[in-house]
Amino acid sequence: MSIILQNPNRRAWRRSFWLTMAFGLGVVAGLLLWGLTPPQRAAAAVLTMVIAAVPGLLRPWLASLPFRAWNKLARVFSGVATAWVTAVCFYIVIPAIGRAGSSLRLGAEDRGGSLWTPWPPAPAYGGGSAEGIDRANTSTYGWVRDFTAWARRSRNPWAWYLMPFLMVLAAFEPPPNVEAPPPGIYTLY
Amino acid sequence: MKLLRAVYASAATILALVLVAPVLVLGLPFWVVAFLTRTLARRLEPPFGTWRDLVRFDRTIGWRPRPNVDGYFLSEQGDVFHVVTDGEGWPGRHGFVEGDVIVFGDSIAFGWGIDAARSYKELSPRLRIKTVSAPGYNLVQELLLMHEIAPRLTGKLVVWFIYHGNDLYDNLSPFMGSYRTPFVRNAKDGLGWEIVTSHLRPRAWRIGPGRHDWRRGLASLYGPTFLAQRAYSACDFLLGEAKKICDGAGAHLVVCTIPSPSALGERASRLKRYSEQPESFDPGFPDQQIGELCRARGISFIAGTRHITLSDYNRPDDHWTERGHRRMAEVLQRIYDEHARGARGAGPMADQSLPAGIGTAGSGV
Repeated sequence: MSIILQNPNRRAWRRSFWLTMAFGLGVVAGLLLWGLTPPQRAAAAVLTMVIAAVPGLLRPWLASLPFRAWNKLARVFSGVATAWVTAVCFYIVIPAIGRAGSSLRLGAEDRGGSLWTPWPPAPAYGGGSAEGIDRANTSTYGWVRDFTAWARRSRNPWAWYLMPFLMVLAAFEPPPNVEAPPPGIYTLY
Repeated sequence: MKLLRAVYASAATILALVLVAPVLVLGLPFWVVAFLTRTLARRLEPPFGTWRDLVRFDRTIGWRPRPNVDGYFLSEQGDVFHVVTDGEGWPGRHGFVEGDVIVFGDSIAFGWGIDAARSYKELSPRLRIKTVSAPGYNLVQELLLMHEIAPRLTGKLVVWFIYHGNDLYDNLSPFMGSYRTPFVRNAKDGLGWEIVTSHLRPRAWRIGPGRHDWRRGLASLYGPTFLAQRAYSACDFLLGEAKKICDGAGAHLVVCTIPSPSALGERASRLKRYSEQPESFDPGFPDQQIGELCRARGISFIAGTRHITLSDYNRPDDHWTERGHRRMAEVLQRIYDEHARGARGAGPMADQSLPAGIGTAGSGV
């Protein structure tokens, strides 16, 4: 799940963002009020949450600017974080796991053959395959399960070492841009 | 040896995870906010459909809204909004009988992107507005509907919204995206225009690349280009037919143009860059042309650019904001008041004969 939010134009998203922020503010208020007893701190936290939540609930457009500002911050952070994680992977993880061994054919000249992979035959049920991915070998439980299954099946255990980093990178990946229609799509008026 | 390499790789991975840990800690608040916002939003938002769920195929006008809809729909790049349609599929619960004003138009007239209760149709306390409209309609479709509904227009004030943004161009096009639309073409005898509907089928339109450069087409309508000459000539034909229908039904026709936000304010200079003749680009050109056509045919004309501003449109979705709807409700109220004063002065409108029918070509595209 990406850390960058979508749908800034939808009231429900603005409202829920505002409520989330109000919740966070309440938690912070509860933590900062050291001088009070725990019940008093809990009450203060709840009160802060309620007071902070009301304006955004009644006027969701109030959340527009904070929503966009937060998303901008999230985009900047995800850009920096992605660069850092990929650098760590490139300089530390990849060289090390390369030594763990791989069944991948990484060089054509070693064997003097082509690196082209034969197109998988279409299954009898007519489902076919898209982009060379055999549907029979993919699951509906997301790419994590597919990736680990592929690593096991193809005897490339090194791929498991990459998994935590790929998951972090997936969280930093921006969602598809829903602000602008894809080129060639005519907006319905 | 293999085990040793695996241990080496594991150690390197753990070291890398330690190096990545600060990023994870800093990123945690972003992740928590995104998770909570998404989870809450899905609970706050009602189940919704898209415009494809709203319309159904119609062999005479291409498509029309489904009847008795009371649900939520998602506007492209906009918000989820509430839609209510009557037993025939037209927005609102009022029937034609109760309607003081009958509005014909496209998605803007439909109230696309705003809750039914907050659209211009519901904002006039003294006026009952009935609209015959659907997303994506061009003027040809609206004219065909006007003809169909003509017997129920007697004594009504008919307001026809002409949206500069795409109506003028779409009148000449046999398709909108993958949807087949009625359109006008030059009559085979070389005299005037004719309406073509023979290509209407539920099957998707696959001929042609689609509207890949609509800005260029739009910009060309703001000056005396070849496209503009054709578009305004076709518009003149459609206005004439509408006038005949309304006169025949004993209704009073008012044309109200709706400006394209792309040609309003500072955005006009951006649109100008797409024009074939930038030197003759004039944001007031469509209103000037349509105004003259209306004058020549004795049709009342309201230039929308005088009432609607850029801030009345949702961005990036090109439909009206709540303020835009309020403005249009005020405009319609004023039109109706003036019409009522005129009608009182001139006596009740004469009940004339029904229209003889509009020229619809039966030949293929």
